[in-house]
Amino acid sequence: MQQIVWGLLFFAVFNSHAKTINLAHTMKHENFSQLFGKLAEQSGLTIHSVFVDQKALKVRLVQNAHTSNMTDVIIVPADHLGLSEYANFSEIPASLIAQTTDKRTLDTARVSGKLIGIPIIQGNHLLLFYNSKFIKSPVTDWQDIEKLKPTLPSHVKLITWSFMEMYWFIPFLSAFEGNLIADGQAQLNTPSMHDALRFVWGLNARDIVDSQCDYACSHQAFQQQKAAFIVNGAWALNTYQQALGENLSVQPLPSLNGRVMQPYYSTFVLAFPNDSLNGPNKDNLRKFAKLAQEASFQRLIWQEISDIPVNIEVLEHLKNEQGTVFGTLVDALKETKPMPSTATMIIVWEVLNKGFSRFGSGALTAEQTGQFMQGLAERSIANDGVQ
Amino acid sequence: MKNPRFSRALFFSVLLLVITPLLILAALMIGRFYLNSIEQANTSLQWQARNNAASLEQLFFKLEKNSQVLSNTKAIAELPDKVVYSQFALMQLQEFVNTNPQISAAIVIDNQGFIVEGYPITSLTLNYSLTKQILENSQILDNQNTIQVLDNIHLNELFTQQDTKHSALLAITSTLLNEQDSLSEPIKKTGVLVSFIPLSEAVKWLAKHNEQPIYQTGKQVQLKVKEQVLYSLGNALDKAQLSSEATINRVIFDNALSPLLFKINETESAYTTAVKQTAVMAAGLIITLFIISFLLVRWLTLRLHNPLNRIAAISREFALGNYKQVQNNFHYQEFKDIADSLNSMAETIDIQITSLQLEKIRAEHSEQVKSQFLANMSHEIRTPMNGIVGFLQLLNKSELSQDQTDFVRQINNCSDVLLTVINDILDFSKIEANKIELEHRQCDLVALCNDLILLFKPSCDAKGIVCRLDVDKLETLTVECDEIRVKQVLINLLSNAVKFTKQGEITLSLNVVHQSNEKTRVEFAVKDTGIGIAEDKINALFNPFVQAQSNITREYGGTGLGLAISKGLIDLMEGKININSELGKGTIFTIQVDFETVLEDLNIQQVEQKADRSRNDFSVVEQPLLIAEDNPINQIVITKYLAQLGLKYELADNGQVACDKASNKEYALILMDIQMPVMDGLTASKILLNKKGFNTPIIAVSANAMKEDINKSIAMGISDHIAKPINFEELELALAKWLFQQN
Repeated sequence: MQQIVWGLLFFAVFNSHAKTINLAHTMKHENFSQLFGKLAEQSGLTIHSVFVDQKALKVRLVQNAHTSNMTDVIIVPADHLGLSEYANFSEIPASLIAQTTDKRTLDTARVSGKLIGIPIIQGNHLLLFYNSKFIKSPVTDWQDIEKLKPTLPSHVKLITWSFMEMYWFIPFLSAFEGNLIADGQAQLNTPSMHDALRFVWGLNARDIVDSQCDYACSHQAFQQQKAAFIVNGAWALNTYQQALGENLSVQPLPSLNGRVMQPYYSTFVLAFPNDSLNGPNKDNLRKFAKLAQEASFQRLIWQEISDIPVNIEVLEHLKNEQGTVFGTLVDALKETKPMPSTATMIIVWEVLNKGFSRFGSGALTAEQTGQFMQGLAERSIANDGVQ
Repeated sequence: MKNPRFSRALFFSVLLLVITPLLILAALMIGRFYLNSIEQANTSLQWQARNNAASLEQLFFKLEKNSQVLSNTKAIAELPDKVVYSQFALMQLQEFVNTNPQISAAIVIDNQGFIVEGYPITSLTLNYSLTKQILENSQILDNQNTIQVLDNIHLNELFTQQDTKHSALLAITSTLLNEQDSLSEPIKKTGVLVSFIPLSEAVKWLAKHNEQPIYQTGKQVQLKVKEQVLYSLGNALDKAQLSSEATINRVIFDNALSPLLFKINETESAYTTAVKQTAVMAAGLIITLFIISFLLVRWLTLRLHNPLNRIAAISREFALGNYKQVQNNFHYQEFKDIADSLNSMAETIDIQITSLQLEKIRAEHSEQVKSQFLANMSHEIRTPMNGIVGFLQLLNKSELSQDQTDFVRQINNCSDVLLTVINDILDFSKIEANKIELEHRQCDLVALCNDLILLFKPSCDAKGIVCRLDVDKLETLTVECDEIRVKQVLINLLSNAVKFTKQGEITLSLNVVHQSNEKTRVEFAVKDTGIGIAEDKINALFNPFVQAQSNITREYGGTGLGLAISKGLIDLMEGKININSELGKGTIFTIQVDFETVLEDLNIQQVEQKADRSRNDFSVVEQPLLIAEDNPINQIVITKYLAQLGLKYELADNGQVACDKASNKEYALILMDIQMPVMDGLTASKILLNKKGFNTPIIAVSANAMKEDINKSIAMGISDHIAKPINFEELELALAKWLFQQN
């Protein structure tokens, strides 16, 4: 399948004309294509958009480095920018960044000090959604959540989230004062890491959360009002509002042992592989980049795919327009930290994922897990020559 | 000890000569067949083990090669140092596992022993200590590929998702080498690629590769290392089994190189079925032969047994005295000859028996003649003796001078001796002929002994010896016994005692040894202080006509029959008689007899009867007595005596006359002689007694003193019997009894 996709991309490159842009994205949202349809109408550009699985995209970016069969632009999570060594993303000139773009989001698009992506969607930060039918008031501390378990009907899960995805692990690590990267170095074999691993898997062991319940499982359980709490991204707000109506409540993540649980926030960025921004289609691409940051397109981001735009004007307008829930969603961004998008981060995510599951299976102790992750990460970083 | 049977001996002979050699031959052949089968089985198993081991080595080599190819790919070789290759490496691992069915999992471990990537996902849960150990063992062969044995059941279950019981895993390791731009280290070892092969999968491949099943019933396939069973197919064999094994080298187990053994166990039965079938057939054949032999022997035995049984039956008939001729229809000549011999023998024996029977008849006839002679002699002697004794009694009652009285007494003594001799001879002949029958009447033995002492006191007094009775404080002792015979025995003993004692004393003692309601054991002892008997003579003392010393007869007289008669009578009473004697000092005869106990004493009647005698007055009898007697002398004696008693009488010379007279006239009593001419006394008595209204008492008077004669008379209805020579006292008592009783 992927071979067919890349074949089409290759075909597109060599058959393109002046106003055609070949785009690959990893957005699963079904309305995402319509979004580009409207953009194309506004700009007069012809946009060939193709959805590609994130993992496949990573592989292909690595395998096809320095080859010419790359697409013009990709819309990917900012962490993909860490593959710039292979993908040869174009550096983004400051002039291409709109004044209305939230400058805080630019940190997610920098690799080795260079801006190589244009944020167009922000958020992705984790929130605590809860069903007011079961939970009457917001919780302030993690222990409050655990105390509520006996009050729930037997068929209702206390809390759920996509347990095995490391994005959800970050708030717990932060509560134990851990960071994945410090001073450009992976920090995976620290006491904080050990404690966080033990705590999270301890929740599973104590039946507070089900490790086997993945994203879809958790999402469905909350929608069907079979879970009292869910930790999920801001992107799920609209879906939950439709499903739970007035029963839906949302709040920032609570504190853990008195320490703030800080999720990452991230961005979806436009990136230009194989330095396409300086290539033959640069004009069209620059035009496309600017249009993507303009208020009209940014508003569509909320309207069509319910993601948070990066345009601060649009954002303010929407806060006033959408009310408390949206306000909470936006305000929660203040308690987040940007997800690093360095090449190192790609390695760290990969290593963390392995270590997390290895510890959970009982194959390794927390200390061995730390040792394994740190060693693998350091070797990979050293061999990749990235920072 | 029971003698062996002919049929059994014949059967065992056939068994020994026919069946046993057959059995031995069959056993030898089957044994040889068995050994050949086992040898072939061993060769076959050895070939199978080697072939399978070689095939497995071939499989391992192929998988090693495939593993090596994979390890040389960039994504795998660099993965431990470049985690970004993870997704791609995972796909490669997945493809590798899927295209090598024998490999259940493949993992990449880094130089620390940590798993960097693995497929399937369960492989990521492998324990660190295990992966570290695999890593260390992979270095044993200096960066070469290794085949490691992992005896870990849980590991197998993890990969195969099934309980494979005891089935170990093999881990093929290929060192991951990364070429790098470095002069000092152009090739860097990054880690190890480990491929896991369940032995069960390897064995499955083996079956497919060999195109025949590895396992079948009765077979067990084992993969072992250092005597540890890693994989076992088939159940443990507890029967006799054959084994063979082959080695696969270059295998690491327990941190050291150790050969992997491919072992095949198989029950002997898989190879010895034909042997068993042959054995069963042979057994069947032998059993058939056995049955045929058995039936043949049985048939033959029956053919022999029946005639033998017939001969045995004939012999038994012979033993019983039935010497019948044998029907000679035997099948075999030998039996015909035996039958002829038996017939000849039967004929001879029959002749002999006939002869013996004739002799016996003659002897019996002779005995009867002798008895008759004795009876006749008794009659003939008693008849004149009756006259002698009668006249002596009459003479003694007449007035005689002193000398005449002495003479009569001497003659009387002589006649008593003569009568004794005659009675002894008659008694002895009766005993010899078993013609004595004991009569059982109540008798007071104390009174009997008293009478005997009184009887012998005069003769003792005459010899100046003391005659004493010792009855041990007994006043009476009434028992059921034949008083006459008891008295006869004691008289014999006392007579001898008196006869052989010149001085001292004679003692008759009576003791009750034991008494119950049924039996009374009485002991009589006759003790004298006479001449005694030599010890060597004692045993012969009871023989007839024997006396202790030959001169005794001359000195003391006697027939020598007394003790023989006494012994005979005591034997008849089922008693015992013993002699204790010392020559010159005396003799003690001891008799022990069991008599029937009498609980009521009837002596009073006897005393009264005796007392009546003194009051008899025959003159009051008005009717005459009829005396039937042919002998004129006896007629005189009886008539004289009756006349003395004051009785009237008439004479009849024979039975016919007596019968006529008694028919026409009523008599007070009839004294009837038995032996008379014309008509004997018994016939006459019978006629009279059969007459209606005839009730005259008849007293038989006969010289026939034989018991059967007396019984015959009594049975006919004759009132009493008096033996000749007539004892007048006895006659008087009888007359008194019947005359006065009748009146």
